[in-house]
Amino acid sequence: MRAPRRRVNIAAVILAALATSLALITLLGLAPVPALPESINGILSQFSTLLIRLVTVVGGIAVIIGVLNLFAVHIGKLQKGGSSALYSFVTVLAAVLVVVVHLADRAGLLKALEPGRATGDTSPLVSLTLMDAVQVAIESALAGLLLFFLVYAAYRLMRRRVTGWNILFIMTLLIVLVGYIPLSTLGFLTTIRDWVLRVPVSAGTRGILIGVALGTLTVGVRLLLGQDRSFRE
Amino acid sequence: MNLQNVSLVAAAILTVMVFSYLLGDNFLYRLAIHLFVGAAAGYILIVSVESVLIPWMQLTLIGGFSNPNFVIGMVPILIGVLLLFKVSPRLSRFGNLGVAFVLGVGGAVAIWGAVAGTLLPLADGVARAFTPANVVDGFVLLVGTICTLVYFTYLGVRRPSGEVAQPLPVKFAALVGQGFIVVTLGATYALVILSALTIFTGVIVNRLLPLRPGG
Amino acid sequence: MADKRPLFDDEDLPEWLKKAGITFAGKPAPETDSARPEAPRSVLPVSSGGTGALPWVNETSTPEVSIPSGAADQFDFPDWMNAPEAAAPPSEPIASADELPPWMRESPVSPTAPTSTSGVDFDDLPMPDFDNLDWSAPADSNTASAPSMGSTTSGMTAGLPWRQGASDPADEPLGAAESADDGLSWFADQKDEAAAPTFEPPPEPEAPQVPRGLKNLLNKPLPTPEAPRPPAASDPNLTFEQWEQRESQKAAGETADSFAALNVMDAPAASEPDWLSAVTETPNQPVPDWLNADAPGTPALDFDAMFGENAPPLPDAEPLPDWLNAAAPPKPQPPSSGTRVLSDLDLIPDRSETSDSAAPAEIPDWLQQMTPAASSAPIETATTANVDDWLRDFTSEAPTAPVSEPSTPATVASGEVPDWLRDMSPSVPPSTPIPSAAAPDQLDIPDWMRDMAPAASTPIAEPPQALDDWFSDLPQTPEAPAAEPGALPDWLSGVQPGTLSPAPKPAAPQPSRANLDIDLSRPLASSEIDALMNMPISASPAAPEKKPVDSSSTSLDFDLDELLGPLPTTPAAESTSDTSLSRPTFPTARPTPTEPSGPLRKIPTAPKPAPVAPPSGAISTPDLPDFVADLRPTDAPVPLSVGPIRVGVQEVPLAQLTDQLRQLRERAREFKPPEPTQVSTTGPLAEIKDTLAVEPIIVQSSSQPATVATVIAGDLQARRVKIIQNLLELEDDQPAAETTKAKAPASARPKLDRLLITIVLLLALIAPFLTDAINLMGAPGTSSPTAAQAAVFAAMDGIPAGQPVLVAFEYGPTGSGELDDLSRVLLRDLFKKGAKPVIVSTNPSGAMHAEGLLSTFGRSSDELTALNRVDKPLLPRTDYVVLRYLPAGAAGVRSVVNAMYFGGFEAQSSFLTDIEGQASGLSDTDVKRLQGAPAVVLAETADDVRNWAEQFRAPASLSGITPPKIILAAAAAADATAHTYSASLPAVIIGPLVGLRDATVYRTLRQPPAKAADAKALDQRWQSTGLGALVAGLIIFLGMILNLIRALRRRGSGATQGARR
Repeated sequence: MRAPRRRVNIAAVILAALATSLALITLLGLAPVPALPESINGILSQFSTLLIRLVTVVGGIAVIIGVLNLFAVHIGKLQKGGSSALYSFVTVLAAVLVVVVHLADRAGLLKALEPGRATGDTSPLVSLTLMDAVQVAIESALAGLLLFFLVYAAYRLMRRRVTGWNILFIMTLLIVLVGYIPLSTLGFLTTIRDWVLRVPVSAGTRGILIGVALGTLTVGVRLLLGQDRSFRE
Repeated sequence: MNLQNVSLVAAAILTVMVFSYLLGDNFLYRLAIHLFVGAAAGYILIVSVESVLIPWMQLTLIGGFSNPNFVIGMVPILIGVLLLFKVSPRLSRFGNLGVAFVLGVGGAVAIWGAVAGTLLPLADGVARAFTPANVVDGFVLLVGTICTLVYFTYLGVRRPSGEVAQPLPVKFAALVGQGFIVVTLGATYALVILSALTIFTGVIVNRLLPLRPGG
Repeated sequence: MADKRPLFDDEDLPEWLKKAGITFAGKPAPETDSARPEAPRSVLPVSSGGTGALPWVNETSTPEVSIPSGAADQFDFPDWMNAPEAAAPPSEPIASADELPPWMRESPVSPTAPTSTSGVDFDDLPMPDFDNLDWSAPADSNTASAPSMGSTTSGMTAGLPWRQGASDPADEPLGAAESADDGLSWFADQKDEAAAPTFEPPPEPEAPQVPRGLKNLLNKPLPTPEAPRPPAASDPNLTFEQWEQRESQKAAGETADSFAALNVMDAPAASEPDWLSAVTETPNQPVPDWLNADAPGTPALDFDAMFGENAPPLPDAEPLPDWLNAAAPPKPQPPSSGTRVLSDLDLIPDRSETSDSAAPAEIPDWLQQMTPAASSAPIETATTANVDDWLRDFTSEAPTAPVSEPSTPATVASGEVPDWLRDMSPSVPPSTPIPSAAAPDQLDIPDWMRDMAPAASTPIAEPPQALDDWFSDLPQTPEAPAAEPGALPDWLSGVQPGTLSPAPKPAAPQPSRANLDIDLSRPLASSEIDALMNMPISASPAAPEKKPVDSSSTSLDFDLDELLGPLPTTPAAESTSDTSLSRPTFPTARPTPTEPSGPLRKIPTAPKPAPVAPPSGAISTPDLPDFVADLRPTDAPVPLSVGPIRVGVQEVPLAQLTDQLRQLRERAREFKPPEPTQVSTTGPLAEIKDTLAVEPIIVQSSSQPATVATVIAGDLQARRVKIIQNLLELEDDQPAAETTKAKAPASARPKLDRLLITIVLLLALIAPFLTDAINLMGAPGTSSPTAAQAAVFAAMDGIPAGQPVLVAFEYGPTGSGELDDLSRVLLRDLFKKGAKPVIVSTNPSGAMHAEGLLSTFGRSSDELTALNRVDKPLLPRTDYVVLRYLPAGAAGVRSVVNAMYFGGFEAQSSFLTDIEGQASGLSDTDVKRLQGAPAVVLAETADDVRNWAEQFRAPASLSGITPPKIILAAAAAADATAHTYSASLPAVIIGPLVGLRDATVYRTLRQPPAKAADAKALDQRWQSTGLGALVAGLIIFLGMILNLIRALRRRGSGATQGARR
């Protein structure tokens, strides 16, 4: 039987045409074709540069939209009540406090709290201090907390199943981990570690990176051809 | 107690709250997490508005049409408005225009970066690593890279029984590539542990030790 | 919900109809009566208690099951039933007004043309041609076909489930009035076609609702002795069958519209037949006792008892149902006048919806005769062009008037039953009763009607003997002429008028009858009747919880009250009959002319009339003779149609069923249609509607399991099966996993081994800060820098003073514990050189963190002392610039590079302002000078490394540009990627410096701490990190050993068990 014909979606066609044309212009600007006249390449390059600039601004706006959406979600949870309302309240309150403190700091309302400020230093010190005390501290602690779970996971790796790959994995892990330590008694481990990182690990990483690049290229080509899935949905 | 000391104590308390997760999920941990999320969102909003949106508007939109960059400046704003439609399911299709714009330009940048920054340099690096002075390492590097790529290849031959099997050379190469990948992931795992170790010691030094007497 | 179903779909048909073969899809092609083949006889598709209503008939209609119609001759029939068409006097009216009950007198009775192609049985009976019942007739096809469908009958169509479910495409709930309107939907078009100034505005329907199908059915043309197939309408071009066929073609699904003959109430009085005139002009003439419902002790027709369904002996009289009135020999009618239509059911008041539908010009003659003189004038002006097709066909095909065709015994094997007929019955949702203004428990319902109640599975009650009296009156009535034996069919030949006696009780016992716990000797209440009929009591006001919408939306469980209207003794019935008689006019223009014309017009929302309370006790139900109980019109073959092919399955009277068939019948009646499919939430068909319900698979043991053994699955198939099994297992495990997850907080206690590991690691990490006794690690390679370190040193040394250097803080607070040290040593070096760091970041938190770090760094006295600039703190925008955050990842990096090389607007947008939105103080020269120094990239992840390695390169459009360089400093997690890019891009990437070790080396070699405390702190951290790595390695190694031992033990125990086995 013949496969059913795909219905042409005009909106998808427009989106694909827009994205494809923009991608081609940008690509030609980034990698000018020698066959083209210099002037055209220059125009394409300038236009490509402008498009990239616009995309960065759009990215910033998208981040703002995302943050506002986060606020909306938590405000919605607040209105619904329940056990999660407290946490949503904390989230929203923290965000509002950060913004308020920052604005107040920028307005010079918190000078009494500031540590010694040098002349000409206009940095929002209170806001930065608050960030260091809250965000940096919590994020660092979270990253540090990861250590215990990584170790415990590696400890239990072969609990359910013992395979050769598991052993190879653990052995490599131990070499790289313990070889990091400059112990005189374990000097050979450092040598092995360096070789492992330089040769097999580098080979594997190259393969993975090349694979990632190929994947990116494939997705990009699909994008250029208008075959990206996002245009059909 | 000045602001610095207050921040030190607060940071230490928050750190302990996060570490309390080692004893299990608890209220203090959740409170710290949500506090962090809110603070991060606030700071991201501040940075985005102060360093991206406002400067762009000042550069392009101030002055209206008298500004030569006004039209250019309006483009991201309009696209941002289109992206705002993505919030609404009914109007999300209009937001696809903004997504198409970002995808088109961003995709081209990624393509060019992947080709010029990764594919060609890494391939060239593999070739250059295979030198007479470094035959073994170069060979291993070359074989490892190729076999790793082969491992991600799903080419095969369909047998009469219906099974799709890879030819023996491909299968062997994939097996070797799997070994390289396992070694790579093992090493990466160890490196991540080292990063976590370093970060944890940094937390001790920067957050907890200052609170000790005489610290 | 049925009201959301498509219009005129078979699914909208009640189950009992579909089981009986009444389908929309199965209508044969239009054919004249003369051209009609003999085999696909017109049959009675509606079977109440007969086999036709049972699903097993359709499925197991084997020749053994099919019983020829001759079997019916074992029953006693009243004379009027036995009367052949030839025996009926040609000019004899159906019934005189004196003999009709009041409610019947209000309704004109028109004769119909019998079909006597074979001279068999039901052709002579006043039964409508159910085969030609156009259940699928769309409303527009009835535009002119039922011009007189009027005021008094509109309500009869209300509540039909198939109508309600199909009539309103907008899914509007239909009230009774709406249904009545819908039942007259063919009038919708007529309002636009021809105005009817003589029509009276129809009143709001107050009468009970009667399903249109039944209404039409009851108004089927009666057999005319002289004209076996008289024209059903004045239009000579279309037979009634053709009209119905046309309707069925127009819309497959409209069930009730086919009975357009019901509209005789609106026919002009000038064309009213004699018998009808007699009826209408003598409304107060005496009626037989058996028809007098008020007469105590007078037997009334109990259709439950008649047809063996629920036949409680009702003491009080009940009016004769109109179908019985119609059964009287019709008055002979001239062939040119078309078929006269029985309209004795036009008890429902007119409705505005229907009033305009019958344009005078479109009214057939037979209708015109029934129309009052006031409305006859416009009819006289009617032209043939204005007559609808069906009416034209009526005229021409008068002989093919819809009458019961000879019920040739046609047996259909089970294999011949079309699949669609078998399959569609379960899909019909259980119907809900329709509201009725009359007491449903006091109505006489023929069993073919009773069968319309899907739940009428109550055992048949014994026919009361009291009905014998009633029956004895029947032969004396003119509408029930005695049949001549010679004209009787075989199965009726044995039935002699004088031998009519109470119907013989079924030979086979009916054990289920004993289950009735209802006193049949008293008038049954509505609930009891409903219970008997096993149907909801929505029509009864005693069910207030029933939503009006429900009661009017989907119901096949109509009562006879709804069919026949109010009883003559009840006020409601009187008013209804008054209405029917006082308004024999054509309906006026529709009140909503803007409505779209056509059969599928949207029915206007109208308030549903409140159900009339049943006149409890006012009317008693008479006993029924046994012959009525066992006589069913459905004894005619039940049509089973597949496209144009139609066969008839002969039904068998209940009494003649064998025990086995009776049991099957009871079982079939107990069959309940499946509930509406529920959307599965799990499984591969999750969130997919209308999936087949999961039925338990009954695997019968087979003595030859070879069929299973022959199944050969390839490896690929086996793998696919395994994949599917895994998926399903995952699905199955999900609820359990979610439950476990939900309980996790309560039982979230750290495991012992995890607790031990945590404690050990904590001790190892904290101990170096408490004591120096366990400092096992030496200095991290401080003797000589590595090549990467040396390259970085060289690059840093090459940065001239005052050189702006791009520094990418590609890490946030998460990596601050590791990369802050690297960034400090690099920034310290830059500041020492007098360079001006220009900081960017694709991470907003990274940019903010960089600002805070530099702010702290620039104010630190120790740092300033190391930089030889005591009391000269580092100032933003002077000594360093924290630029904006770079959104869009790789595109952000690219934009910075473009700004560096292209300047202009790009440079302005990137370097004009800093993170605070203030002027950065960077000039175009400073931006261009960024090309001359390597950029310092502090990357936390591999993606950060890749982004900068890929994008931080000079634009290809510029020639002769020295490629920019990167001093790469990465976290340990990005070590492999950083080294890979560094090895592949040696001309671009300098370094890399990785993690704390390189930071310590850098610091030790190039920036030795001035204070011993700082040096000690640096060493303690290094010792802590080293010891922690060692302990972590040991723990992991221990785990590996333990698990290996455990695995070996498992393997050994498994081998031992295998050996034992």
